[in-house]
Amino acid sequence: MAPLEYRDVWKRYTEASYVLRSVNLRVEEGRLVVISGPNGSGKTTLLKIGAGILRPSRGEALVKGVNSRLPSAKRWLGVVLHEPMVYPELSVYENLKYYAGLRGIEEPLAGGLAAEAFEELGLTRYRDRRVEELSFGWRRRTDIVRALLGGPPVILIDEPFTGLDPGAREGLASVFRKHLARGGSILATTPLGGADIEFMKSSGLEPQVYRISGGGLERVGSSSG
Amino acid sequence: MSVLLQVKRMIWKDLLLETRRVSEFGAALVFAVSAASLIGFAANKFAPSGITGTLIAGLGLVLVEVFLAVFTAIMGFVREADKGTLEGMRSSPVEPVVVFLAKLVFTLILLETLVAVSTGAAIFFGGTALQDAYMLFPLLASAGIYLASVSAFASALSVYIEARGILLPTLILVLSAPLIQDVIILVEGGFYGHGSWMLALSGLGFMIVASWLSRYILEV
Repeated sequence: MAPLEYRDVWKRYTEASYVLRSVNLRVEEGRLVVISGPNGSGKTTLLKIGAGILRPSRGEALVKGVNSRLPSAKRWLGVVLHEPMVYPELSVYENLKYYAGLRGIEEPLAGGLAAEAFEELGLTRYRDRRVEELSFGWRRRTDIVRALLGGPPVILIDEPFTGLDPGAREGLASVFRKHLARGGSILATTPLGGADIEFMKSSGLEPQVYRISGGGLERVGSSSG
Repeated sequence: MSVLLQVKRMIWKDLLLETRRVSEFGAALVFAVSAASLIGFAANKFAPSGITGTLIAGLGLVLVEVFLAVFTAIMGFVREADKGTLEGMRSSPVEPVVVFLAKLVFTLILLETLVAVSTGAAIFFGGTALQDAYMLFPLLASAGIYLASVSAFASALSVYIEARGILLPTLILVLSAPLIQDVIILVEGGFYGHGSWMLALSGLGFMIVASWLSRYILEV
């Protein structure tokens, strides 16, 4: 049973056309799968369906065999979308504490990948700063740590390296490597023609790349073959 | 993890945010006090003695409460959607009905606080005309249960609709129409003490229906 699987997923927002057409995809343990495509091609829609926050028009997304819309499946997911989901008026730590609480975790930085990412991404010095005082890049880092709370086995992340400086990109790549080495899975998106895939390859992440076009997925290569 | 603990955490977060976003709650507070003081002033002018002033104030304050429900709707799911944090709640392992209930209770706390302040302001500015107006509080507090449910429901319903600036107040006014009618009948009959229980029960009924529907509303 794959940690994340899309089975014949279709999605349309209007009657006119489908954004996704019969998408079938498996993200195996220890693998990074990257969906590349132009703006408006359905990358984020695909991610949101996997995250259980968007209902497919047809088909289903499964997390360890459980429909991703169910709370029991969401416990295994860490989701980062383009816009950070953190509260601007709360501090970095208050945000993490709140979201950890929703997962039944008392201390968000007591250990695990979230605590490691907190260090790797350099958030320690901003722990008690309100998020509204931080730049987009630092909000994004806070949001990434938020998604890692509780050590979910599957990470869904929209354009992971957007808004991050070179140091943070290296830090995030290191977090990804640790997650994959522990048997975790990652589904990420990147814009078409961006340098992210090359960066992932050079960071030893061995991405399986798919191109999304006309609502369907097409495998375009893997550094590991 | 217990549902109650999740609800408590979400309410606590909302209350903490409210203390840091003083402009929004402050605006609602200013509106409540201004409108209530005008109602008190009008009651004192038209009926300086007897029960008539209290009746005028009762009807006026319920209408103010309906407007306040629009404020609280904006401070509910709509604001979460605008800030992008609604997706954070929806991607967390929490049942949609729990998310809705937490927001509903938060809305109820805000609304009842504003009701207490506006009733107090009306009594203060109403002078002798409203010396018995404290009797209105159970009626207004009971109406608050229904209106908080309407407010949270309308807020959740209009989250993904672009025209929510118009839709939200319209929805709240339409859904509040039966309540306003009930209040008019109760106040006119002069039995707002017992009528409050009926209003509270109808509020609880709507709360259950809205909570049940929330699982469909909070998904796209």
